[in-house]
Amino acid sequence: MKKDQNKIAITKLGRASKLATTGAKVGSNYIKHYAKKLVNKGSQEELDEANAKDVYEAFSELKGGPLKMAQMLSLGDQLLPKAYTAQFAQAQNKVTPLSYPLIRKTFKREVGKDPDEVFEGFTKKAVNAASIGQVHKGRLNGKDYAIKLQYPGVADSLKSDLNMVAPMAIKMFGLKKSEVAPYIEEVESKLMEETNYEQEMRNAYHIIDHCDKLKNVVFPDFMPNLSGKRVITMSWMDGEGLADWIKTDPSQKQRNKIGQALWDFYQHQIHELRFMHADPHPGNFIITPKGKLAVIDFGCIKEIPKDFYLSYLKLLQFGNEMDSVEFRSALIELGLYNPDAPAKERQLILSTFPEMFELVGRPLLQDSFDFGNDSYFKEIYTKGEALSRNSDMRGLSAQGSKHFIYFNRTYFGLYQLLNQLKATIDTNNVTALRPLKKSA
Amino acid sequence: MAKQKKKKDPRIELVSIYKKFVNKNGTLPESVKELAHFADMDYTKFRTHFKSLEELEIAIILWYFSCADTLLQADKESQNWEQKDRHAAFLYLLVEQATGDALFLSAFVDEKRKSPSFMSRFAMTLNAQKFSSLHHESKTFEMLGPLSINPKKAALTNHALSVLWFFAIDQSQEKQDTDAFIEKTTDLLFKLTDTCMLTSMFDLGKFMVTRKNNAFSWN
Repeated sequence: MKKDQNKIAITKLGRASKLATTGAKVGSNYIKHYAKKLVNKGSQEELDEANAKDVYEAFSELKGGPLKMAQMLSLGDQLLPKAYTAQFAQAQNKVTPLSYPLIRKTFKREVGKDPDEVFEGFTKKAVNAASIGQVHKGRLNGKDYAIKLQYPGVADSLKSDLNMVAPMAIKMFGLKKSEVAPYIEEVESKLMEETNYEQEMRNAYHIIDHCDKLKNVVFPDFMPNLSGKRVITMSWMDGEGLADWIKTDPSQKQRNKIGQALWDFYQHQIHELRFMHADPHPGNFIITPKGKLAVIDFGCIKEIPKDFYLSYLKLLQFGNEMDSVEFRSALIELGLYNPDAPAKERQLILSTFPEMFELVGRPLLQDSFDFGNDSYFKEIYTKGEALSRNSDMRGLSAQGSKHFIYFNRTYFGLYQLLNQLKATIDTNNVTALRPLKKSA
Repeated sequence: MAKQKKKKDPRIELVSIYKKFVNKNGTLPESVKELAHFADMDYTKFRTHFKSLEELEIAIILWYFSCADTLLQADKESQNWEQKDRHAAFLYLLVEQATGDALFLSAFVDEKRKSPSFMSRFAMTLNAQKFSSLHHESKTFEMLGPLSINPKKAALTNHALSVLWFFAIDQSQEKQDTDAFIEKTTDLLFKLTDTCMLTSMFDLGKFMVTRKNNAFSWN
């Protein structure tokens, strides 16, 4: 049973001290681990589990930013030890819910009426809760609706958390404040966008307008007259959350069908719209009773600049030709290579990146790809870990474009989902990638 | 017969003058004399209805409580809510009442928080009031009832006061932090004052004592 949350950190100082306490707890977990190791008992997994539990508990008490981070971290269940992601995965659905009086007040302020005046059987308790809002259900004209309400003060909390976390990250990774600034700005602007439900609805309309013809992908209908800055009303999507659906042990054919829908949905956005849903975690998808993929959240959207996209395509095409002019120019355009850097740094980039790009781009350059193949993911994580442990990689003069943050998050999130689905995907249906495949 | 026009309560008129003073000057009047001079009124008129400025100020705050209480009592739907939700609803109504007087409240809190004795006297005055919305029967109340102590009621009243204080200095957009404060503190307060566990503890204790059981005694 979930332990009762009996204290809540409210102020910035309170939140900071909560994180600090967690840091101390994690530290003591390490001490316990090494003490146990002395007598050959403590396993790495036990240590990970203890750390994950403490970190998650702190995050769930704080809500807002840390919880959002917990969600981002739980995207990669091989990138992090399994025990961590099991704890972090809780973040996707469980947070202390809001009281009904505030729900009523918020709805009335945004819509002008009490929820009970609008809907039959409006649920007083949330039917689902996430990092920045909670979902209720109500019936109108014989149809069910999902009503999403935002927690109060979320935008300020996110800003405050980011202000707190940024200096820690700078210190932990030995970075310079000026170098990190564009990335922090990028994350902050995305987080702020997520707190704007009117923006979310505009995002949803844009994506739905351009993706509603995709096979096996469905979307809810939005109700702008019953929505506002902190309320979104959309048609209720029957079905199971993606993670729960996977647990029902669907057939390979069903897995491939859902996986293909996910793949097509993302490739269409990246290559045709250059405007993509950048939050591919299982909580944002429902599998309907008819076996279709329903997309239910449009809070985090990344617009991909054309020049970034074209350089990225060039990188895919010439990724295995490290001496080619095209490869180097793509690296420079994407901020990954500084031609004026010392020879050692330039050599490091040129000797390391092609292999990584080949690996990450492999599914895109084949006709079909088996994402259930764990050895592919092990290869990615082994190489990724080796890269992160390489001290020479720190303090590089070229840090990469800020657009990589959400671009990579989306791709890794998508790959993770497809791996969890154990799906084999026809990757040959992206028009923009066909010339690249020929040349590769 | 012509309907007799209802005479306006002179205290309401004085409160109105007081608020005008605060809104115009941005500070609280320092004395009754200053207020009387501002409104060009007879000094004794004020004294007839309030003993001091503080009494008038407290009356304003109590008025918010009273209005919130009346509104919540009139809300039929809320009668079916659990106590925690009713308490939160009371707080939202309380803040709504005070919204029109944000400047007064801010100046009042700014001034009065410097005086701990005022705060404790005010809290006592508040606790002596009977607000149905804040009345809550509990096991502790049953146990302490004969002593006329209801710690939960006092905690709820003081909580409401703290919300008003928070609201007065809240700089967040659309006072969203006040909503968050209400949600978080209400949740915490009800968890802290949940005394269900005590009943079980007393029950077990009584059982062990009456059986003279020493299974868990160190002696």
